Parts: sequence; C-alpha cells; structure tokens
Amino acid sequence: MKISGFFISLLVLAGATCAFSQDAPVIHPDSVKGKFKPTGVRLGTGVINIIRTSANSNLTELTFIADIDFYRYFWNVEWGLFERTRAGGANSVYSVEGSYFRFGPEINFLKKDPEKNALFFGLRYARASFDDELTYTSASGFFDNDQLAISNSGLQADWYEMVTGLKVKIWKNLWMGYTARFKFGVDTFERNELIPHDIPGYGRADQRSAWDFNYWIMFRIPLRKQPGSVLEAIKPVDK
Amino acid sequence: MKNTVIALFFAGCIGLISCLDDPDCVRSTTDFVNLKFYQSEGGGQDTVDIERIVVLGSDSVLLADTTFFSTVFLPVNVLTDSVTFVFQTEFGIDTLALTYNSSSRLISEDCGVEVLFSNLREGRNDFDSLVVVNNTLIEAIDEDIRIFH
Repeated sequence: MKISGFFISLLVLAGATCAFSQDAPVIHPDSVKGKFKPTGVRLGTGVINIIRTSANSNLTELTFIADIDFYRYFWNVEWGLFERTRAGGANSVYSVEGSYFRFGPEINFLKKDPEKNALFFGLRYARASFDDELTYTSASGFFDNDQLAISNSGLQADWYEMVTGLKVKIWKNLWMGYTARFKFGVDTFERNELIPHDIPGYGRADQRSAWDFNYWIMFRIPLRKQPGSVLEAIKPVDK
Repeated sequence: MKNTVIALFFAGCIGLISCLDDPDCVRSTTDFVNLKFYQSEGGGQDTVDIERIVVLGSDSVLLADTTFFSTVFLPVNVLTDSVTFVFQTEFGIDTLALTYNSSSRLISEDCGVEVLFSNLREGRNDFDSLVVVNNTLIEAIDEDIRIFH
C-alpha cells in the first residue's frame, strides 16, 4: 500500500465510521462480542535511556513501559528512574535523583491491522518525585566568596503529555516502537532557594513545555487469541 | 500495510536528532541594587554629595570619593538575606537595610550558576522617604529603589 493511500485510509477511519456505502463492510453482530477483552500485555523498556546511561557515567536513566489493549484502545503505564550529576563553572556541582510515573489512554488508528501494529495518539498524566542539590562558590565582586550548598528534598512535579507514535511487531512476541511526546503544565519552582535544573521524566525545569522522544523494545504476553476481524463484507444477495 | 508501518517506524528515527538541546548562556539577573536619588520637594531626580558608603559588618568601603552622585549601585550578598549600608552624605549619616530572597540555579555545565534576587524590600532606613519600585533584580531594569531627600 502506498503511503498516500495509507493516510487517506486513516482519514476515512477517523472521520467516517458510519459512512457505509452499499458495498461497504458492516459490523457482524457476533464478532462484536468480547472485542474489548484484552488480548495481551506488552512490557518493555526505553532504548535511548539505556544508550545514554551507558555513554554517560554521570547519568542513570531507566524507563519501563507496560500497556494493555482494549480493542483499538490501550491503557499505558510508564515508570522511570533518573539520577544525574552535572559539574560546571564556579566549582558548581548539581545532582538530582528521583523517579517518575505516567499513565493514560491511547487510541490506535490501525485497528484493521491483523498483527495489531499500532499508530497511536494518547494522553498522559505524569508525576515525578525527586531530590536535588547544588554546591558552588559564590562569585561576588564585593563580598567574600564562599562555598554554598543548597538543596531541595521531596519535591513533586506534575505535568501532562500528548503522545503519538508507533508500536510494531518485529518477530513473534518481540515488539518495537517509538513515542514522541509534548509535555506541558509543569511547575518551574522559581520560588525555591534552589531552582531545579532537571525534573526526572520531564527534562529541563526552566522550560514550561518540552518535546521528548523515546524508542521502546517490548515483549508481548498474550492473554488470549486475538479475535478475527469484526468487519465482514455483505455478500451479494442472489435473486 | 506492514511495509507502511515499518517505513513509518524508521522515519521516526529522525526524531532522535531533536533530543539534543542545551540552554543558552544568557543571564538576565544582577546582584546589584540600582538606587536613584530624588528631591523630596518637586520629585525631580537629584544629585547627592556622597563622602562614603560602607557595608555594615564588613571592612569593605563601597564608595569613598567626595563626589556628586545621582545613582549608586549597591551589592547584595547571596550568602545572607539582608545587607545594611551606611551612607555618609552632605545630609549626615543615613542607614539603609535591605532584605531579599535569593534563588540559585545551574544554567548548564558550560554556563555555570545564576542567582536571582527577588522580593527586595527595605528593612529600615533614615532617609526622608524610600520607595522600592522594582523588587526583582534584573539587569535590564535601571531603577530598583528611589530615595527622596
């Protein structure tokens, strides 16, 4: 199928669920039964996080994902761990450690795909809990310079996300996918004595919105056999 | 269908490039209070003959010239939440105590740390009148306190 044809199909699926012509498929009553029962659970981890953690000795970032399907909908849960130390000018050392989770629904636009590959759009609510610390030497031109150590303990940050991406079956129960996400609605903590630099799972704390991208490798645990197509073409009536 | 899905999957690899971003080394804050003198009567900007300004509790002399000034820059200290200045002027000796909050943040490894002084307010003063017109110390703002003589 050509790409242009694919996008036209998407538009038709999204906007015209009721637009059946005389030869168009109709829902077979028996096939609707049980279609919202989950067929499997996918468990996975973020690939980019693993690569970045391997490449940077001052960074530990691990993300795990799980989703479950309800017909063309998914419920998605992610959990992550983040630790980072940054050394900069003025003898500054900033360290942050914490964890985060996010969850939310997704809709699959490839509902007719027999492999249950997914081109999805979804929403997330996310929350991070973290501690951070900054030490540096004050650089006043007038007062005596001294070493400062300030920290935040038990900070919590909330934000929301719009996500889109793909989940593709690679081989047997092995799946890969990616998620592009737009994050917004976070508190930047500018009232704190220490303004955080990183929020685990969100990114730079000075940004009121942010883009992010991650690849997933996932393993699917089937819960039951996938039901057949719920659509069946009307056969011509013999007269 | 499967080919399309795989093609879209690898097309998404381009998005990986967008993961790299670092903040700019732009500092908009300052650790100096911009103070201007005004006439009590009429309210016009004034010049004052300042003999010296010292910071209380410090041996440092901020200003030691006998010169007329309409504006002085008073440093604030990130290690404390208040600073007291003693002015020796043509009108005698006046004291000005300022209190404030400070917030620090790491801009980036390359750019270092930025300190934001906010909630600037007068602790006590011996001047005729004093108004804090800006309570967050920003480089681009050229007046934080007005003193009326």
